[in-house]
Amino acid sequence: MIESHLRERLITGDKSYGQISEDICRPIENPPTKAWWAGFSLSFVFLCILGLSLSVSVGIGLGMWGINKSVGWAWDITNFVFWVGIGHAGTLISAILLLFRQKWRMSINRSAEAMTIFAVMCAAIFPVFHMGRVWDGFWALPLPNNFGSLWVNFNSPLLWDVFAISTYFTVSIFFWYMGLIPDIATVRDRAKTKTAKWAYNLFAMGWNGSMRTWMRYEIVCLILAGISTPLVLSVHTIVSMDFATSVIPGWHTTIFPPYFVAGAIFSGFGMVLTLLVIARKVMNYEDYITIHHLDAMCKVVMLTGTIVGCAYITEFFVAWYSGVEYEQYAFKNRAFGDYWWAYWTMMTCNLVAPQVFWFKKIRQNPTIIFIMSIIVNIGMWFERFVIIVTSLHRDYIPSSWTYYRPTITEIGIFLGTFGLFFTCYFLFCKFLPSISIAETKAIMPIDQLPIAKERMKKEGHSHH
Amino acid sequence: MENHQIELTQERFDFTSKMKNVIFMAIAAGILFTVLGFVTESAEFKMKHFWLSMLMGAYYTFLISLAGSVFVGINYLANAGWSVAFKRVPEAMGQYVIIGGAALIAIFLLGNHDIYHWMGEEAKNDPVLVGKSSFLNMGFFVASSAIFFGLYFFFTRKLRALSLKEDSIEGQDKFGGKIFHTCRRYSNVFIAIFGFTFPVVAWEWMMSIDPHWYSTIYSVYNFAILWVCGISTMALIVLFLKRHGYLSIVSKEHMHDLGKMMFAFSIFWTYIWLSQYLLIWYANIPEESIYFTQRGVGTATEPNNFTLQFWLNLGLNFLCPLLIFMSSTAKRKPNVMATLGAIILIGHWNDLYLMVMPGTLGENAHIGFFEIGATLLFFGIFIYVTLASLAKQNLITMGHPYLEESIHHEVTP
Repeated sequence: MIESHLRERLITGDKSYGQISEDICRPIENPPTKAWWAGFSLSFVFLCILGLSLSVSVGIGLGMWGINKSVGWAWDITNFVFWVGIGHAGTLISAILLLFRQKWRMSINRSAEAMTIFAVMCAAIFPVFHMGRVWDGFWALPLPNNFGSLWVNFNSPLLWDVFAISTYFTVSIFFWYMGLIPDIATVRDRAKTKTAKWAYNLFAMGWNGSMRTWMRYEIVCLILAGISTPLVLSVHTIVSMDFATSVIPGWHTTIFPPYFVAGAIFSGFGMVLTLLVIARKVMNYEDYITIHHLDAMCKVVMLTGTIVGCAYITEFFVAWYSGVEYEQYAFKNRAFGDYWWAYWTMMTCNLVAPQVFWFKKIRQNPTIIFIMSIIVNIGMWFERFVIIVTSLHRDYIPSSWTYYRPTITEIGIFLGTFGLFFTCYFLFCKFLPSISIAETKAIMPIDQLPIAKERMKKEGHSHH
Repeated sequence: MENHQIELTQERFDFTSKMKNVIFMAIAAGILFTVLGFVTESAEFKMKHFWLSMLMGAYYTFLISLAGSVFVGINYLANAGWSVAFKRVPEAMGQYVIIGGAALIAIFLLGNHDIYHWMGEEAKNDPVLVGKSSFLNMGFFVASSAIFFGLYFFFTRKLRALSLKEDSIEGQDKFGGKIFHTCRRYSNVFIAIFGFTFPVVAWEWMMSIDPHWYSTIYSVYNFAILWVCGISTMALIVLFLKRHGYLSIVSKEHMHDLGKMMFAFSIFWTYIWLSQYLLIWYANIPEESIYFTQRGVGTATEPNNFTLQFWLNLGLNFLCPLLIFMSSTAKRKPNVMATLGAIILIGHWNDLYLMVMPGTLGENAHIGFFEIGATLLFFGIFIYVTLASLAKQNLITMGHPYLEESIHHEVTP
């Protein structure tokens, strides 16, 4: 394996193998810092808000939501799509970047995969609670027909969603956990207290680092990567079909599947950047998640943002080109109707703002990257809001025209999902290695390998 | 670190007169078939059939050639090293862009009434077409195409000129990567321009053949064809060069990766095909579903004359790549790859046939002398231009900073 000198180093700071384990395990082995407690407490408060808002929704009923006769889908499905989209970056990094042999993924895949799992959990809350009677939620599964005459509608993309997302969630968890096993074993071997030893031992599943375990590990990882790749594409494709199979103007458009997938990757990378810009600083991971990692992720954000922007323009153009007046009205209404502000927020955040990443200086400035990542998250949230609400609030009959605004309960649920997401993320950072130890060691720069150092010493060079 | 300098010897492709003769014969056969078409076709649809065939041949080769330029650009953009060993091949493919583009514009100027319904007199009384006339009109069509094709050609030439310059100052620049970074900057701009202009090309040249019909994914669909056919052609040309003893630095590892791309983008094409088909079928809006009704779906009891080709499309472009290239050993066998490359190119020929012919000719379409003639003619010219420009300079990009990476390329998980 030869690498051009023009390529950036993936690990900086002249680390040895021992140091890598040391650095990555540090947050797990030391008591949590003040910053961790502050972040965790704040997240937990929001998690409580989630509990409260959901209790209100179930206890009093969906009348507590702002949905009305025309806009029957609004806040809930917007947030559902938003969270599912965020989850996509994890799978993209672990599976698709793996297929493209992008080695820089090694130090970010673990936390991105964790993010996938937490994001899908947040997403699932919305459709389940939109059912109203959450205790009957399992009726969404094609169970034997013992409950009466109800049988799921196999023609409905909403049912495809149930299959796609539950499969996606399962495979993501397996993939994430498989990758964790060697690292959990490392933590186990280093653990000092009895409880830690016992717990990590349990989850390491007897990993002993022998050739045999590594061979099994590699085979399973390859199979899971193979399954994940079509899966990640199928999930957002099916989510897009929730809308695109209908005949609602603004929803029924054939570009939706690839455009939703691109948007999902865009928003997912936005969220990965939000988390990692902070995490690398707070957890002292700057030698592993280097500025060049951020640079690469910014490029992905710019590329996918521009693809999404190109799709917006395509939709707008083809709506005009189609000559269908309902279609034309839907798009005019998006841009200049009651929700014009949402539309232009979306356009600015998703198409215009990411163009700053043309400049290397900006791609390597963590402060600006952090601000940009928030802008991307806002933009992608508004994208779903625009698509969903603007198409529904103008029905074919003007007497059905309404305006939707969220209630405090709905806002509470949305903010609460952030509580759930970040509570899980903080726990993950505390108890599990948030960078893959084993995989990071595999991408050690060639001249930092022990053998290279030894040779250099022999030849009398002093290494830099 | 040990220095693994490999003794590289520069190669130059010899475009022998034997090869040239084969290509000239193909071109001559193309012209002969076209003449035969004029003799045998019924007078009523003769001109329509002729111009549509020419459009199809020119557009297909134009797409494949443009894929070469885009491949070079995307590899710079992605900072990819593995493909440097055969970089001259996509570069050479791109040189045809201007010929293909000029041919397309000439075909439009001469045959527009026969190809595009919206150029006809009857379009003036059609309110839907009148509504589109600020986009679908001769001036905008020709001007935008000329500008876009010109831009594609400009970047193709620029990237190639820089690459040749990089070779000539071998040694010094190799380590500074100065020209390499200039190439990357040009590629960034090129790919951005390509991304935003190619949809317009697809709408104008292909989608407007069925001027009442529309589909937002159509431009992505055209891109999928461009990309998968471009990669397949590239693989075939590399195999051809290797068979004649050139490009020994291109190993099975590179071919394996090209094979992966042929496989993956065949699946990508299917994904785009399915997205378009499924959504139109599901919503069943007559203005949209007519597209597939005309193209062979028909009704279950009454297949029309495209039904066979409709299914062939999926068989050749999806099932064959899926089944043949699923295994990783198959991707490393030159003969299997050559066979699949040919299948994909024939498959997308059929795909383009379904895009071009039914809209204007409908039930009167049939594969005849015209189609075969135009295909031979344009592919002949495309291959000639590509091989001629390959022969013009060295086959190995000696000055490229990633050359060594590429030579040592290995497919690892």
